[in-house]
Amino acid sequence: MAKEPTPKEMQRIDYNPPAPGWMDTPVNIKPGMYCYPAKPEKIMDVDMPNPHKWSVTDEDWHLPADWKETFLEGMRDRLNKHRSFKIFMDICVRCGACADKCHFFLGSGDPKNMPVVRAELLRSVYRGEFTKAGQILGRLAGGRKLTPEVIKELWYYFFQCTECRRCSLFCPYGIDTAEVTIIGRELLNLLGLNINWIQEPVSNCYRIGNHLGLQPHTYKGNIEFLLDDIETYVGIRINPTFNRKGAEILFATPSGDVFAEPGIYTLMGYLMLFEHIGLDYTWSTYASETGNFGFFTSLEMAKRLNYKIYAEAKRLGVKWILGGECGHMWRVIHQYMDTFNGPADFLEEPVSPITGTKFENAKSTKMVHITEFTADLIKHGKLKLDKSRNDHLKVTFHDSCNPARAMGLLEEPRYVIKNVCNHFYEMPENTIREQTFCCGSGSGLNASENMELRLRGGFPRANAVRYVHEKHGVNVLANVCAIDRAALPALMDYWVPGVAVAGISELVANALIMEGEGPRTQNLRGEDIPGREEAGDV
Amino acid sequence: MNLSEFIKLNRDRILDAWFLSIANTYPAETVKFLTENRDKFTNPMGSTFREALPAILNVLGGPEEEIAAASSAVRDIVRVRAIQNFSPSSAVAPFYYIKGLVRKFVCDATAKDPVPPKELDAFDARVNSLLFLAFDIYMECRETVWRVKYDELMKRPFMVREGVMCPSYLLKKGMSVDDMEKIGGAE
Repeated sequence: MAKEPTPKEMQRIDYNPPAPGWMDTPVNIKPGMYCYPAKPEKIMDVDMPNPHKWSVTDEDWHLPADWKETFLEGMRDRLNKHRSFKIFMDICVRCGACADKCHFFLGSGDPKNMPVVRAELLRSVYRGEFTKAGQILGRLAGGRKLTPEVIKELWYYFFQCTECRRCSLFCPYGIDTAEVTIIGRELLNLLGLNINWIQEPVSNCYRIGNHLGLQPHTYKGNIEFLLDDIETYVGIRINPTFNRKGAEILFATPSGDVFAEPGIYTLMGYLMLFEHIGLDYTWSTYASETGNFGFFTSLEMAKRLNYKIYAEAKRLGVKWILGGECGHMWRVIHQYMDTFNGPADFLEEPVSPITGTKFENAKSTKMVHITEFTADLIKHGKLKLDKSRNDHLKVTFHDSCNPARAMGLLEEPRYVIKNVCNHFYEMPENTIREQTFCCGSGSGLNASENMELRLRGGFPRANAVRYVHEKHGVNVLANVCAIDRAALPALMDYWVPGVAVAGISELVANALIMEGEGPRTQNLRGEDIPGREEAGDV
Repeated sequence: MNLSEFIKLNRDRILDAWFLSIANTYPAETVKFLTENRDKFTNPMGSTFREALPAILNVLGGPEEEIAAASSAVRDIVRVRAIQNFSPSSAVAPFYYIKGLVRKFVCDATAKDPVPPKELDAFDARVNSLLFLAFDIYMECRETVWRVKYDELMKRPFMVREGVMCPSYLLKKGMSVDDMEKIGGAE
C-alpha cells in the first residue's frame, strides 16, 4: 500500500504549470474547436485555388508543392496592395490593450486568443520572412520562418476569430485585428485551406443565389408557407410579389430568415410590417441572400457575391434597396460595397415613401437598414401598435458586432424595442453598444462541430445575459442579426436556459395592429399570448 | 479549535489561495489577467470562480451542510471548465486542491490550539463527496453540449439534403416525423 503523504509533503505540490513563450507552445488542435475542411468541389465551384482533400487531424494536410512560395507571394502582394495590412504588421508595440478584449480569450484563457498574439502569429512570419532584422536576427527580432506547423497554427487560430472588431476599439494605434484575420484567411485560402461551413454557402450563393442553396421556387414556396402561418395566427392573408419589375423598393435579407428558426419569425415580421404600411416593394429570388460568406474567404469573393444584389436592383429597376436584419452584411455594405461595386448611381438616394425621410447615411450605398426604416415609421406615428401584447416578454438587446461597430446602429434598435415592448432592460454598459461582446459564432463559425469554440466565445455575452436574467427576469434576447438568431439559442441553452432569442421585427409584428386582423391570441410562433388565450384580444 | 472555526477565521486567505490555485491551471499570461481584473463582465471567468468559491467553502466548512447544497456554485465553475482545453480530471481538479490548501493553513497556524486530525479526515471525506458531485456535474455539462449540438442540427434541415424543406412544412405536407428522420440522415 502506498505511503500516505504527510501534510508537509502535500504542501510541496506545485500547481503552477511551466510557462514557455507562445512560440514554444505547440498548437494543440482539439475536436470541438474547429470546423470541417472545405470540400474540394465547393472550392472548384467558384474557381478558388488549390482544392484538395485533407483532414484537420492528419499529420499531412497535403499542401500544394509550392505552398511556401504561394503563401509568401500572396503575403507580399497584400502587403503592397493593402496599406492598412502593412501598417498593422509594422506598428504594434505589444502594449496589451487588446489582450483581454477578445471574447475567445475571455472564454478560453488561451493566450493565443489574445488579439495581439493572434496577429503576432502572422506578424512573426512577416518579420522572419520580409524584414531584414527578422531575416538576420530571427527570434531575437520576433521573427520566425514559415513551416507547415506554422500554417496549422495560423489556420487553427484565424478560424478562432469572429472578426468582431471589439479589440480594435481599444487599440491606441487603431489596429484592426479583424483585417489581419481577413488577410490571414485569404492567404490560407490560397492553399485551399478553408472550412466547409463557409465554402459551401459561398458556392451556393454564387451559383444559386443564397447560402442555403434555395432555388427560386423553394425560396418562394417557403415564404408562402410563412404567409399561411400569418393567416393562422393573425387572421389576414398577405400577398407579396417576387421579382417584380418596377417596384419602388427591393427588399433583401439573409436566407437564414427564410428557413432557420427563429429567423423565420423575423421574416414574418417583415411581411406584416410592409403590409401594414402598404409598401411598394418586391422580394427577389435571385438577390435572395444579403449575408456574404465570401467576405470570410477573400475580398475578391466578397465582391462577387455583393454584386448580385446591385445587379438585381438594376434589373428590376427599383429606386433603392431595403435590407433586413443581418450582421456582417452591413459591414460589407457600409464599409466595402462602394469600393467593391460602387457607385450604385443607377439607384436613387433612399427616401421613405411613407414618411418622406431622406436616409442621407445611405446616400452612397442606396441601402437602408430595416431597423432605421422602422424607427423612422414609429417616430412619425405611422404604425398602430399594441405593445401590451409583448407584456409577457422581458427583453434585453444584444448589439450585433457589425451593425454596432461597423455602422453605428445603436439607438434605433433600442428605440424600436421600447416602442413595441413595455419591459426592456439593458445589459451592463461594458458589454453593449460599441463594446458589445460577440455571439462567438460570427464570420462563418456558426457550425455545430465547433460547439466548444462557440460556447467559449459566447461566454462573455452569455454572462451578461445571465446577469439581467437573474436580476430582472429577462426572457428574450433581441438582436438584429441572422447569425445571432441561428447561434444564440445554443448559447442560451448551455449558459442561460430560459432565455429565447428573437429578431426585432418579430417583436414589432406581434405588437402591430393589422387591418382586418383576428383575435390575436397567439404570437407569430403559434404560442398562446398569456392572458389572451380565452378572452381574446379584439 | 474546530475546523469550522478555523476556516471561518482564515476564510479570506483560504479563498484567495484557492482562487489562485484555479487560476494557475491556465497559462501564465492568463493567470495575471484572471487575478487582477475584478470586473464581473470583462473578466467573466475570474468573477465566476471568485463568486462561486465562497459558497462552496461555506458548505465544506459547515459539517452539518449537505454537499449537494454547493451544486449551483460547483456548476458555475464546472460549466466553464467543461468546454475548455481540460481533460475531465483536470476540469474538476480545483475541488481537490482545497484539501491540500486547508491542511497547509492548518499546519502553518500556531499549534497553541490545534485542529484535531480527525476533523481534517472528515474534511477530506467531504472534499471527496464534492469531487463526486463535480464529476456528475461535469458529465451533465458534457451531455448538454451534445444535446445542444443535436438540437441545432435538427433545427437545420437545410443542412441535410438538397431540396429538403423545413420540418413544419413537411408535417403540413403529411410527412411523418419518421420519414423526416429518414431523409434527414447524415450524408
